[in-house]
Amino acid sequence: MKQYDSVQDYINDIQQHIYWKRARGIATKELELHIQDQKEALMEQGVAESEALRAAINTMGSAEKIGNELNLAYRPKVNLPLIGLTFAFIIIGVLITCLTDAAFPITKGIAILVGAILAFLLYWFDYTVLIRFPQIFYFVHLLIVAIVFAFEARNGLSLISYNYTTYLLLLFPITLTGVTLNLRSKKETSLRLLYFALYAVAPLICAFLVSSIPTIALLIITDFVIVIYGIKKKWFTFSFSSIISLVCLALFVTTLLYGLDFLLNINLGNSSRSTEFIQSVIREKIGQTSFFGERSFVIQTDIDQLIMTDYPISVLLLKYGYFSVVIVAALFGLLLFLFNKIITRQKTDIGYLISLIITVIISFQFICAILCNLGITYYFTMCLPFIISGGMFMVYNLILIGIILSVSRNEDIAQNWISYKERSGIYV
Amino acid sequence: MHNKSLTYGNVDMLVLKLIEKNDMYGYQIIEQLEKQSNNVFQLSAGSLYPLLHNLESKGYVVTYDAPASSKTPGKPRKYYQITRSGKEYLCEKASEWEKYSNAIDNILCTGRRVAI
Repeated sequence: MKQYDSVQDYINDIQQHIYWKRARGIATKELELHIQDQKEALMEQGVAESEALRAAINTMGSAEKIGNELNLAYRPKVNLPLIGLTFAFIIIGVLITCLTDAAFPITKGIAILVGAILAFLLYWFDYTVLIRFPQIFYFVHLLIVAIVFAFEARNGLSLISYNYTTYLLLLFPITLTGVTLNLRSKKETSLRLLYFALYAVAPLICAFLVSSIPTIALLIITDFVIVIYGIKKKWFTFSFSSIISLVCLALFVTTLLYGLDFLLNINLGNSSRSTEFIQSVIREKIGQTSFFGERSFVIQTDIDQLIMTDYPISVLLLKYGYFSVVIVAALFGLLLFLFNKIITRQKTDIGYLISLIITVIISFQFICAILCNLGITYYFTMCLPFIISGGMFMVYNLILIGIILSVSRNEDIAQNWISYKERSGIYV
Repeated sequence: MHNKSLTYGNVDMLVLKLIEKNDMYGYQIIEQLEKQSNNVFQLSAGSLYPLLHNLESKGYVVTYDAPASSKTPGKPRKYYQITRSGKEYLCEKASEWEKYSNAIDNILCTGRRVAI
């Protein structure tokens, strides 16, 4: 066996055989300490230090053999069921578009490609940097939202829909997760919730300005999830002063929003009024259809054409019955099952919270989309994730998939990796 | 000399049994395994740590950092603690081993009686 004069040379040799670079430090840290313990045990028996070190390394065995064993043990996880199911959903979406006789738009194809590339890049993303630089991520995110909003609003606030601004806002729950975890380091525990509320308010105001009720609802729901988790982990505590501060903040924000509505004539939910009539038509048609559908959907009016393009699940239901919706629901149940497996395997707060938030976001979209296509609600109009999605929505959901795949990939080493970085002094 | 094929596939059972009694770090596990088996089982670090990582990824053990109990106080070690599913797995493996070793004993005892 090759002779080593220092532990570091031996460890470096072992690490050469571990393919996953991120796991190298974690995999070999215990070996370094083990050699130290062995050396000290030999020195207690009267062996000289340099001899003891050489003997301790020799008892470990060949660096190549250990490296190969550790390489097999430390492998990044690829969540093939989740990737396969996402791909299946996208294919189902294409088939549904064909079955409902709508032409498949090229822009959607481009969106699928762009989304898949972003998901692939995010799979390699070190999501733990969200704790490392939370304020930077938050304020850069807010700045990008402000710039995009200003760009989209240049024609007037009430004239257009804020596609890009909305989807950027819908990524705030992920950014807020990093902020929340960073708040744990604040010594004044009773003020942490107030700090969180201050960070959460800005995206909510932006969502109000773009007049998007689903975005506001989703941000509020995810904020509640984060707060409840924070209370459960005892990061957030309540005191009289913090409750008073929160009440004052809520009053201030409400006043601000009323003021903005008056000054800028935002008319929150105005766009929902136009869908109310369409949904009443959908409800009437669904009420007349059988469980297995009518096998055809005849376009007789402009409303029917609108239903064909904007409510394809309703068309599917009318053509093929409730059975088709049950199939779609079952597939989403399977997706939620896979998400739940990822959540329960997380050993770090950041992994747990991010995967939980993404599950909540996708579940919310699904529930709203089904209710909307059944004509039950017109306030929470959302696309069915992956299946019936416009271009930007597809990209957004694939970004979420990329992030959760990254969480799943690193779940075995994340706990050790965060501790390792803290010990190495990387986290300030 | 000890035939390693006899312990192959049962090392995880031995390791889990050791940490069932007390949480231990890697070096302690190797020390105790040697001591309690009268040097029959001599596990190398290169075999132990990948095994421990696999047990952790299956949820049979959890880990935490704590100062080492002995010579170098203050330097944290990674301690391994058995979980409930680890204990269930250990029971399963122990019962399989008991069946296996009883079967071998029966055959060996029968063989001796025939020989006599």
